[in-house]
Amino acid sequence: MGEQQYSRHLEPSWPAVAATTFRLWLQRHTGGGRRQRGVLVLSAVAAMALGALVTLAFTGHGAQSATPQASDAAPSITSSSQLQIARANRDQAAAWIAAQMLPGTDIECDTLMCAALQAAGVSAGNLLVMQTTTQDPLGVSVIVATPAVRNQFGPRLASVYAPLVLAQFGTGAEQIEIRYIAPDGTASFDSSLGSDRAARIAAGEQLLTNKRVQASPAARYALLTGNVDPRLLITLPALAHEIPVRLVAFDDSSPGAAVPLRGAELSASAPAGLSAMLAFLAAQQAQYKPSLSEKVELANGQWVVTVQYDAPGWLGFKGP
Amino acid sequence: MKLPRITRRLVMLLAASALLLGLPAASAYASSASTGTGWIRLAHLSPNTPAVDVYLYSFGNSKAQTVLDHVAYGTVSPYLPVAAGDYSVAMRAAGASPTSQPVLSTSVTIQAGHAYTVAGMGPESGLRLQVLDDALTTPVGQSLVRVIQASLKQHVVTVTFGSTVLAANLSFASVSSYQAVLPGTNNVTVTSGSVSAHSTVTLAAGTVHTLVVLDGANGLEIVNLVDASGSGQPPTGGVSTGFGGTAPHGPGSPVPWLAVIGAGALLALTGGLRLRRDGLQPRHRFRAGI
Repeated sequence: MGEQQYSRHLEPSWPAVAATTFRLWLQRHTGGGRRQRGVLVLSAVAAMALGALVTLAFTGHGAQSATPQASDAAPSITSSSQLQIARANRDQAAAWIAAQMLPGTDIECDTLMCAALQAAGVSAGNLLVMQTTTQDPLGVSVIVATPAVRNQFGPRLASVYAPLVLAQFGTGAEQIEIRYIAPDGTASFDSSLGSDRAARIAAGEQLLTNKRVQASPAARYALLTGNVDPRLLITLPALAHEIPVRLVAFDDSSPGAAVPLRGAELSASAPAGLSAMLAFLAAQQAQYKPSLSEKVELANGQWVVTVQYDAPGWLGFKGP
Repeated sequence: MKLPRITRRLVMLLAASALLLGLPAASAYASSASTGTGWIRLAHLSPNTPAVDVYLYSFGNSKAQTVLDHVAYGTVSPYLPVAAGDYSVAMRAAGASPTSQPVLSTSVTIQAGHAYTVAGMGPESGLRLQVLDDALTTPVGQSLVRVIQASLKQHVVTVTFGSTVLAANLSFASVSSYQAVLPGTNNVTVTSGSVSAHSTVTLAAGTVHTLVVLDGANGLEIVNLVDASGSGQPPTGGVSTGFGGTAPHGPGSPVPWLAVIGAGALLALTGGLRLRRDGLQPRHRFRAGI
């Protein structure tokens, strides 16, 4: 303990050293009066304050420009928790696209999102990285609307180019939307929405009169409200001609999107019927071949065939 | 003014005959619309695709399956009347086992009173079934013509009717819009570079035609399909390319035959009644007159 106190007395602190050095320098170089010393001290303090401000300003700017990609992804990010949210949304969106999107679909995205998509297994050849000079998102089928993309295109993204949300992840400013780009623009897309829905409803109504198709109340509701993807509607009459079909449910894996349901759970009167269903579905060509069809046991012990078609889903009967 | 009895009967007979004969003809189009019947025909226009069997599955009626067997390249079926509604269209290779899986190709919505051609287009590797809306009526005094380019040997063709260009630089597996032309008989010419083909075609007023450019054994061929013949109803007969003998034929409408039979029966009945009555009185009078 005593040695410690001793050593402190032997080594003056750095502020004491600086103050002494400054005082001695003044004494040597000025030798002037008290007023002149005051002016010099104030000038020095002012210069130090100015220097500190300039340093702070440059330090702040440097921190922003040192992380341009973070800025691309979310300009409003100011805390690490927001960064984590943005990253989580990005990862979810990338995983969804890798699992649900039709392989070969061309996708536009910002730098970070494209990197996440590539990491999730989406082919780089299908990714178009948005540039700051990009005027419009045309030429691709899908755009991942991150905050940076929304900032770049503004409200025109939805009102002119990409009217349909296929899925969305997160909420608020960090929300990521996966949007379908209408080849002929939003106006044309909107004009056909009503007729497409009417056609889906009409098809659903007809399907419900098919004696080889039975539907649960939930499935019936989905059909009558035009909420079923046309690929399923086209497949079911031919499938039912081969094997009587019971529609257990229609479902989808498109979080936050109001699009026709791309999935279904189908049951048959006999176990052999399920195998026949799978054989029928597997024999279809790409346009009508589900991305997933397998036998699954439900929680109630019932065996069904689950069917899932790729996104983007169809709205009309002529295609997506 | 009171007409003589024989004149009144003659007028009534003509009116009844007109009702029987005229009304069905005039209202064929309207009645098909109100009873929910449309027409569909199938065309195989993919040059290097083997013959196929084509199936139509009704969305609403599990028993309503239409099958066309062995539809080969260049074959166009007659129009088949089908109930209005939605149908899935599937194909199997011709002669494939009934237990093999049909392959879905497209869907078609049949509207009452409308006619459609479901055409297999493109090369085998990219075969697709395309649904074409067929026109049934024309502008007054004119004929409508469109062109389907189904030649794989000549990818781009230009088709003229006399001096009228029906389709310029039409690429393989595409269809031109209907074009109104003045009726008459003229040369249809298909040209593609130095290759050309000619055919004489008569377009009557009020008729609707589809000209199909095909690969023939010796160059290009032109097939003239009559989509509609003026009554607003599509023809039920086959086309000049011929249709497979195993294929079902268009049943045609029984209404004209029923009308003729009905008119004949009415005529016979009226004549019989007149003979029965006149056979007594006039003859008697005649005899009395003698």
